[in-house]
Amino acid sequence: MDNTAVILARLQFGITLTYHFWFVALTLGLSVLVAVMETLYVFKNKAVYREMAKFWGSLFLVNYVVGVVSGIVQEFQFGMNWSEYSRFVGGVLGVPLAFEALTAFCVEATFIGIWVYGRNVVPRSIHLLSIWLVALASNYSAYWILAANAFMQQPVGYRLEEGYLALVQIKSILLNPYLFYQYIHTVMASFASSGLFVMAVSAFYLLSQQHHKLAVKSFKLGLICAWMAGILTFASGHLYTQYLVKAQPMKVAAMEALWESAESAPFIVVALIDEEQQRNKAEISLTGMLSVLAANHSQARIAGMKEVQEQFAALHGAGNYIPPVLLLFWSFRFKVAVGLLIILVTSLSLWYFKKHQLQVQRLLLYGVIWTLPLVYLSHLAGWLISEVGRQPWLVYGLQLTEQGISRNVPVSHLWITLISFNGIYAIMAGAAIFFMRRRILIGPEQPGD
Amino acid sequence: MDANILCFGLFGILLTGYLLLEGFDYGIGMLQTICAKTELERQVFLNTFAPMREGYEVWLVTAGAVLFAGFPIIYAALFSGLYLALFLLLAALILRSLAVEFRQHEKSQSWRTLCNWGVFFGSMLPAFLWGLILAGFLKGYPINADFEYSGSVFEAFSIYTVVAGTLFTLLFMLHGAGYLLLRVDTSLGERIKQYALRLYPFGIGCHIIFILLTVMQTQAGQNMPAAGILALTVFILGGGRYFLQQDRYWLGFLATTLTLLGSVSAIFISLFPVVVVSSLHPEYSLDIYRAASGPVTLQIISRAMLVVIPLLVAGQIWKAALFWRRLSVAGLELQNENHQFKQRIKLAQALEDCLDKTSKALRSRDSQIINKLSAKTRQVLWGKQDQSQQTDEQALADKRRNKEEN
Repeated sequence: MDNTAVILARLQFGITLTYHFWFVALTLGLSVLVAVMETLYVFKNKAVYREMAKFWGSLFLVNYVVGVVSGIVQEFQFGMNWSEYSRFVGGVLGVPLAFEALTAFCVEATFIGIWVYGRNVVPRSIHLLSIWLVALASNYSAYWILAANAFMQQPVGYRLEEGYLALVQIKSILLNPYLFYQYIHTVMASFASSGLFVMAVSAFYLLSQQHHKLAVKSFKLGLICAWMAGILTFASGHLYTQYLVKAQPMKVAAMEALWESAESAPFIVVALIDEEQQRNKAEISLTGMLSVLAANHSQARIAGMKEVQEQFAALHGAGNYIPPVLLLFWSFRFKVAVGLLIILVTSLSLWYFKKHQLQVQRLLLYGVIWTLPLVYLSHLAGWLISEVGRQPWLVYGLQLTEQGISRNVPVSHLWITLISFNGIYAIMAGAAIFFMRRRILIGPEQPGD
Repeated sequence: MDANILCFGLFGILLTGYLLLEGFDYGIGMLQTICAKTELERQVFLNTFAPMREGYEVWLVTAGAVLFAGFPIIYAALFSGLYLALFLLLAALILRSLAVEFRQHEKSQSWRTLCNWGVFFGSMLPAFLWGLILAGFLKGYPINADFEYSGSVFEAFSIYTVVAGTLFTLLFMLHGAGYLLLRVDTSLGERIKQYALRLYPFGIGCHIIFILLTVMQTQAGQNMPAAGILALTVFILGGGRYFLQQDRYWLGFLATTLTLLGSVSAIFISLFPVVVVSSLHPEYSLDIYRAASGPVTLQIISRAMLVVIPLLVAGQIWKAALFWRRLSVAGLELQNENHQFKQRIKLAQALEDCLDKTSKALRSRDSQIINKLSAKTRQVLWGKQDQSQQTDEQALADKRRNKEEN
């Protein structure tokens, strides 16, 4: 079987997913923050809150447009590049997607228009209600989308019928334990990055001594959000990984570069990984630490990649069931490092904020700004672990990735769309960043519309 | 009722809803480049749908998701088969969204022009492609025994489908014109009406050719009820032109709505229960039973749709009513002026503040400020002194004297 088509299709899906998520992450958190600002404005009736809501709202909107558009690409891609997969899982996986469109996107798209254009048309209460509905609906829609992803990670509530999957119970898809961990982790990470986004822009204002009042108030709001969400992301990530030890032992073993099964498994801090020889050439490790982290007990047995490989081979036939170890290992380390950095930066900010010394801590403010791009990269790392870690499975235990692609799409067409979509994404991101940057430079005092 | 029929019917409602709503959107998007003369007029055109745009897209996204869930085999076959056509559709939709949303962010003429053309092509391509794709359902796609699209995407292009694409483009433009006439004031409306009247014969002509080709070239054309509906839509479209001439815009809009509704439903009715004809062998055609998911899936999403679609319709009617007003260039100008006026008031307030502070400084004999002010300003603020040749020192001396006198 020719591999090019699979690689191209995967690349396209991965890029679209990451791209989409980068914008979605900000949508999820910022929508809630803007809603809070609007609420403060309505109840406290201070001009600064109105200004805040308008300013952050305008940034939110630029971001929102790109998020929605790339989401449509995402939906179409299942059928375009992954038609075999769509036929196979459509009856099950389509249901959460259909529900997302019917119950969440519906509300979101109806009320975003009212919020944007209705400031002087509808009463204040309905205007406030509309941004809250947008915020809630977008976070609610994430649940359905992640339900679809969780199904791919851990299929539940299905039955195999004539070679296709058929739905047995929608309830089990929605109560998939995998979904529970994934949802909290993903949404909290989104909130952390949104909070940090608000903090970073406010930090820029504080550093350049502009718009002081708005910057301080926004910084505070972003800080509370990022601090709490940062800690929760880290905690939920820990529980998520513990769950993965049971649900997807291969993923955990790969991201910890654990080749051999071990009782009292070591936590490998850094390693030189040799994927060919299936060993680590050199490693710095803490004995027993992985067992403690993963199973709360220093003597707990953690399955290594070789053992899981044998199990899979016995169950599904010969083949390589080990995902790219190097990528997962370093992605995971990067992600954890960024997670710690977020907690450090936000905690320090909180400390100095309470002491009213924030503006003097120029280094910290620069730190906040430079953490932001790292957070975006850690989103990428997170999805790499989640999706590449599932390889070679497309639907865990049911369908291999190479079985899922469209057999009737020629490779040349894949090239055309891959290149064109990436061009479009680049232009789109360029435009979005350009307009956001300019809005930030103009500052909040300039009325938006 | 049969779960498959119910689910497919509801899917049909979603798709038709999308075509009807985005139909006039796309129409307006095309008309704004042709019909509007100034940027302000374009803005009026776009403002007629701007608050609603995202709401209309919901119909497409939902229809796509329902097709994926309910009829994955149709979804998989068509989406992978019509690969490049769908890619163009997506690219056009992206272009359109970006052009509409980012247009107002930059005032320079070249950016506006770029966005205007973005909106134009982003509207024309989907209109054309939808006609092409839907007509392909009748004409048949090369679906093989595995229910897969076998063959090149270019097989979707034929005289018949291109005529259908052109027809949809024209219908959407007429539909858009009909909607605009309801939403803009008479001065703009008159011009749109003239354009629409000139466009109507082409639309009707194209429609007649499309029907003739359908009857001659496709199996579905032999289906009497569908052919009847199609023939009826020609008369309705003719009626649309008549109503437009009579200035009965609501009826005109209703006519284009019914024409689109009739054409789309005729396509689905004529094939029922087949959805996509296979051009290779009738046995391979995709119908709503063979291509469907299991009964549980169909039931669940049908129920959800039965609840949501009425709510969606109600919500969008409410929203449309909220934003329903006749837009005009004058109104937009007024809005802009209002905006500028507010800016000026802000400036005036700032100035007042400065003056207030300066005159206070003057009163407290802050010579630093006095020296920096020009003689004219001093005069305005101080008022009493002889403006001709007084130096700063004299002004100060004056001031002191005045003070002492007081």
